[in-house]
Amino acid sequence: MLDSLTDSHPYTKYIVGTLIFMLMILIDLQLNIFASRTINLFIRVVYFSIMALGFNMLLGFAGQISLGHAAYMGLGAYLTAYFSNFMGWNFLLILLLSGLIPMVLGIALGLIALRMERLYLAIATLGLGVTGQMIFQEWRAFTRGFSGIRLDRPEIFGFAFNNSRHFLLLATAILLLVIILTYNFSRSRTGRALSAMRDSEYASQSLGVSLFKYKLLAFAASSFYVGIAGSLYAYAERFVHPSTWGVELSLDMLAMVVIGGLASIGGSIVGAAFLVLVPRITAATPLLAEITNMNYILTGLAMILVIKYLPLGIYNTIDVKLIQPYLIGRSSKEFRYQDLEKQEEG
Amino acid sequence: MAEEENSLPILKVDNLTKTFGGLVAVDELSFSVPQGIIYGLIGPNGAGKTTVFNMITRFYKPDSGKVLFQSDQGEVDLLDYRVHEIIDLGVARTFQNIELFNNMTVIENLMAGGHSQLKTNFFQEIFRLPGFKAKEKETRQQALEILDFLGLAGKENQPASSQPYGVQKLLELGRILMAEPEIILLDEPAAGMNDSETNRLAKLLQLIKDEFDITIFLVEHDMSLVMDICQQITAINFGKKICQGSPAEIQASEAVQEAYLGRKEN
Amino acid sequence: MARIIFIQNIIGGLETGSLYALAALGVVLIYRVSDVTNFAQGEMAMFSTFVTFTIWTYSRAAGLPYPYLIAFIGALIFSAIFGYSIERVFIRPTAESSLLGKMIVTFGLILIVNGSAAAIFGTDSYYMQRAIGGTMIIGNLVVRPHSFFVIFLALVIMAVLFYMIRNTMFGVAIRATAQDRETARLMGVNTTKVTAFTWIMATIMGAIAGLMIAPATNVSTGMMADVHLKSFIAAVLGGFTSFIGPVIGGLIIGIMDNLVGYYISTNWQTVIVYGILILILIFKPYGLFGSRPQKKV
Repeated sequence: MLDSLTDSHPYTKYIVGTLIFMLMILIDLQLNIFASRTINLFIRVVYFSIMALGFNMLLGFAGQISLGHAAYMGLGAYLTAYFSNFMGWNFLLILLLSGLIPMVLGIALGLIALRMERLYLAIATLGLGVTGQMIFQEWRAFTRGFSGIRLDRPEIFGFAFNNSRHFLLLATAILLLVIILTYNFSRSRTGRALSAMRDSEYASQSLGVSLFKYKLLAFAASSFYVGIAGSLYAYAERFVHPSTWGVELSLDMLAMVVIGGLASIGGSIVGAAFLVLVPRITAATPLLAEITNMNYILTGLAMILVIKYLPLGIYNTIDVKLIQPYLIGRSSKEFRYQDLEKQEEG
Repeated sequence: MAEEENSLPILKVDNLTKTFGGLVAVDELSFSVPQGIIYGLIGPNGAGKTTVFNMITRFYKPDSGKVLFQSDQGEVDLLDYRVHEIIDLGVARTFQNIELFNNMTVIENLMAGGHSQLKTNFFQEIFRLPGFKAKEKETRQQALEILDFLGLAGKENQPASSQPYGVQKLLELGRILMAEPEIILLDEPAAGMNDSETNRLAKLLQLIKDEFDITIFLVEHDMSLVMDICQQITAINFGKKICQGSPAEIQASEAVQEAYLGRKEN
Repeated sequence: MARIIFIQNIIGGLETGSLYALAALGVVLIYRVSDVTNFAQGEMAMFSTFVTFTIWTYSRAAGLPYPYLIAFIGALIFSAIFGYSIERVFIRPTAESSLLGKMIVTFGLILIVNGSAAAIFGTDSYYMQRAIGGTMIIGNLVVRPHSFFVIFLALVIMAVLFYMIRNTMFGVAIRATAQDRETARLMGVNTTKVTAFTWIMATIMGAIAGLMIAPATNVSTGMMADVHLKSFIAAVLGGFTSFIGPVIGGLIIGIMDNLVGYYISTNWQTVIVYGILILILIFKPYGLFGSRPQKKV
């Protein structure tokens, strides 16, 4: 794990970066420099970052795969819509529940995952995602099916987050909290156990890591995060529809962490930004905008190019090649992600 | 006190049997490992050594038999425990195909080895409470000391995967030392080593035995290492014990020679 | 009457089942030979089907005789080239990546192929004819000749493939590569050629599956999504470690799919079939015919 190479005050960069960003938005509140669309773009990057972080927990830190994680995010979104519209509960409670309930389902998935090899797990979770979407379509009482469900902005202690800039600040604060907690968690006994499990199931077991417990933990944590991301999505977009929660989104999650960087907090954010910006950039570029679904093609190409030339992901490569040597002051060896499944070799 | 403890074997394999399909890999094997020595298990290829090793360390399930171990909590049968539970009893192992954590640094590998010793909980971890920080520091300190002991000081922040083979083998050893085991089981520790490396390994193992007061059990092909440092040896062939004793007795045994070299008539 | 409907459902199930079997076999073939799970198989089949459809449309417009036959041959030629190109351009250069990396490359392919299809062919859906039109009456059953053609075609292709694998030198090469790629290479097997062949074969099988199912699903960019998932479920059910597994898995899934669809619900068809798969996996985590891959500890 790369960030450990700079051990003291490890997450300073995130705190500083976030504070600068928030300051920028506060100024913008007065001066209105950014267009509404840009603010919405930022909000998307923020909740997708939380989503990518969650998925990175599963794939990057723990080495487990799920191709149906969009279902958890959808669940979080629908729960938020439901609780917000019909229960009128407080924002924080809804947010937490939107994480906790998918977490419980994630544990159920983990229980099944324990018995399967990565390939079979990938396919099984693919089916799970499809099932989830199907349920969102059909369970009209809860989700209003294809009509979709609308909701209002959240309210905390009477302050309604009507201005999207206010909501952006709120979302960013939540993201920062998530980053700090994740960081702490990954630099601990539990985090090491997860990475050990990813790198060698045999060795980690022999050192006392219960695969059962830690795989469950990985699924629980990642579905919790993704559920929270879903909740923020619901409040941000104020409309939840089944078509969002399909295979495309699950693949997007994968693309984010692969392109941005596995097992890396910065990588999750970079990946999220990449995937939010690519469709906007193609839409704005005259030649590319003509081609339908160009952003799909570009994202697919990016994934493949990254695997081939920057297997660590964009963020990690920059971190290892440029930043680390500067900070440590000596040449750090190139840190290539080895075979993530040595145990599957025949 | 010390004499009483020394008289009981730390590990007693009792009538262990394992069949794969129709093939009997291990056939009612029994042997005892005295505490505090270096013990060897040898045999030609396919004799069943790896199977025995994996049964003791709980990666395989035997058909019958017992594996009695003297832990802090008294005598236990390792077969009652699961793979990830035996380290808490004090039983640690290495792997033939070095199973290092390739995406982690050297010191992270070692600190992961301390998993069973470090008892922090989730809550302490995510909020980075003072209790957690102190324990992390302690674990890190322990890791640095072991690196120093192994002659690997200065490598802590380097990627484990880019270390040379010999260093990686040492790292595996260092990793299990972090768990403060009573007995360490080494799976072909000299594999891939030349003579001088094997000699250094021999000295290191003896040093570890003395410094850490650990019993060492090794499965090995390399006869020079075995004869050099093992104080007692069991030789097996076709899953059965064919000889047990000191290195001299093993060398003199006809049964052992036959197993390795074939009958004199042929 | 109920029995007649049941038999008709079985025949329908065998029809779709043979297509699932073809597709699943393609996936497993590639997997066993090169450790790559081609998740983009469905999209590639969809793309091939679009090309076939285009050939068919142009042949008809140009007044050529036997337009369907021309399109069919076009399908074979195109998919062979397509499969080879994908392997050459995307798979071979990334062969050194980790297993996860290779999986991800195929995910990227999904996006590229699907995106390209939408860009080139548009997002509408089009009608495609059956290989053999009409219906016929056998005893009390009303069946389509097309169904039998599909089953027959699939059987022929699989028979040829299995014969080749079992009885020819090249088949030995395939089996050797599937069992232990490195050793096969060291022993002189041209594993590159074997890999290219499996991709060509799998893409052809996928294209045929797409063409045969097009009458039911219409030709569109989303046409293969469900078939694709089901063929993966079939491969998992049968187990990835044999060649016969996916075939049997495909047939079982096809029949189950049809029966569930008719007797229970078409909406929840996929979900129920998937649920049954999960249940089976809990008891047999490597599939019905799969086995635990050997790994030395």
